[in-house]
Amino acid sequence: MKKSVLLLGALPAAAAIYFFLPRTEAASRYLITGSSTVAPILQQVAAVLEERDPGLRIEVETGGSGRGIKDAQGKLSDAGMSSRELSADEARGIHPVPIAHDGIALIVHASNPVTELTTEQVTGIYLGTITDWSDLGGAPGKITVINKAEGRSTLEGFLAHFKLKASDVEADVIVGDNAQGVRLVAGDQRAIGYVSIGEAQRSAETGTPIKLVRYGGVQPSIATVADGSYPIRRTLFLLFPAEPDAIGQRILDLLAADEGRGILEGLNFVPLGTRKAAAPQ
Amino acid sequence: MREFAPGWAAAALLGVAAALLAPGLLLFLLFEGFAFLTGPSAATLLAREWHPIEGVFGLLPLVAGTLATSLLALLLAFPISLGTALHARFFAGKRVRDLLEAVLGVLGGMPSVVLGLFGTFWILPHLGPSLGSGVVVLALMITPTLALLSLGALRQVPEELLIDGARLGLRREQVILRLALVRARPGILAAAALALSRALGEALAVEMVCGNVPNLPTGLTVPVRTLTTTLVQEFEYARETHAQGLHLVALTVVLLATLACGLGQKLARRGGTA
Repeated sequence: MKKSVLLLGALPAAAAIYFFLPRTEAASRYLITGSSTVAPILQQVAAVLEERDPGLRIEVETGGSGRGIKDAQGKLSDAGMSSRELSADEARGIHPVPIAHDGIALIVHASNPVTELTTEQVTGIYLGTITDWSDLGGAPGKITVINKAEGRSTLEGFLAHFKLKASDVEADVIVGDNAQGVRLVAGDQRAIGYVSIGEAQRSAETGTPIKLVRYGGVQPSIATVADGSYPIRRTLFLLFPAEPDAIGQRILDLLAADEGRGILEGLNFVPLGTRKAAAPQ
Repeated sequence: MREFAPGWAAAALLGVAAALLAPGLLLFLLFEGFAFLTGPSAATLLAREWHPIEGVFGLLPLVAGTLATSLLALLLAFPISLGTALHARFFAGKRVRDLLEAVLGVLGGMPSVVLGLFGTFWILPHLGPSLGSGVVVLALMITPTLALLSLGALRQVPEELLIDGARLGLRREQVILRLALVRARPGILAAAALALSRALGEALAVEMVCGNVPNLPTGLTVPVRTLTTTLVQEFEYARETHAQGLHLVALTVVLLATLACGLGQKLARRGGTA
């Protein structure tokens, strides 16, 4: 009895000691924070670099592009990740470097006969003025409109492209991440949603019953994002507090090399043709 | 005179820590949300809309969504649970009762994500992402525990009381309704309050089926959003004012759940003296 109580006391004591121990490894830790769309790229890059240099520790934390920008500005991180352009205010004192392109695809259920939508039609669906698939040449049925949670860059990119206000959208479902959006569309023959093209293409190729809708006369795909013909396209950035430091440069060099292009293509992102640092706006 | 026992001292310390945990948590949430209350967005808390990226933080749809899903789920789960408990206590044979208890135990321990997946595949196709789906999933979640706790309360009723009742010439229904249920009422009400506070705090399973659109819950087919699902969907991506507002959302859930518990205990005590 007494022993077990002693043990019980030892646990929090050990936790407290661990908590207050000085962190010796902190000096060699390289912290990257921000967009969860960009994070998988950096996680793979980090794994490659850490294998080459066992003393190096790169940590990748998500929290949205907003966090990536804030942390980079406040020098709370060594580099930030953003899946959107920075406003003039945000770009102050930050050095954004584009690393890849990505697009947003509209998706419907694979059985939906509608294959193409125009800007007016998409806007009408999301404003609630078009509510039935029969108005779009599909089988009659009420459209299930899927929107994304506020704070996510995909939502902001979508709203900006279609010139919509968040409060004007008439949604039936709001989802958090891309995977949830894909799952809902796969399970509802009358649903429409939008996700990153990479995610959509990967899901459709692995047998999930969803279909990418032609928009602006162009089929959304990695290829049409790459050649610039698909209109809903965004650039992914790495953000540095100043000029990229030594480790930052190693990350950029790796991304520019064949190995980095392999990582980007493996994740269904579009590598840049030629890389150059974007001037702060 | 007792010798000093470091083990007991540690245990006492742990006890104090546990006692400080709850008020500490509330203070933390209040502290984090305080900047919001003094900021320019505070006035929007009473709005009927929740649009953080436009600076509108109306809690009404979230609170209404939370109360609607939880209270309706309790309304659905309570009669089913009570019926199950009464059946197990007074009507079922030993083998059926043992089986029922085992099944309820397994269902009660079901992780909420599993119930959410069940809801996604089996309830969404029929009811759509809506208040109704949220209610069904939450009711599924709280029914087993509510039934088991109610059964426990019924078991606490002394056998002699029931036998005496029967000797006095009461019929079986009267023994059950007038004696057993009345005697077990405090325990059953406490169980209901516990179930309600669990429903108020549930996030994951509800998020998967309720639609998460911050509407006022005006019908069972309307997609709604609860306080907890708002935290699940937005917290990781929220910055500054938005993040501060979400701390207030968290504080509101904690207060609602505490209120439910407190109310249950009060009801239970009143029932006990009846």
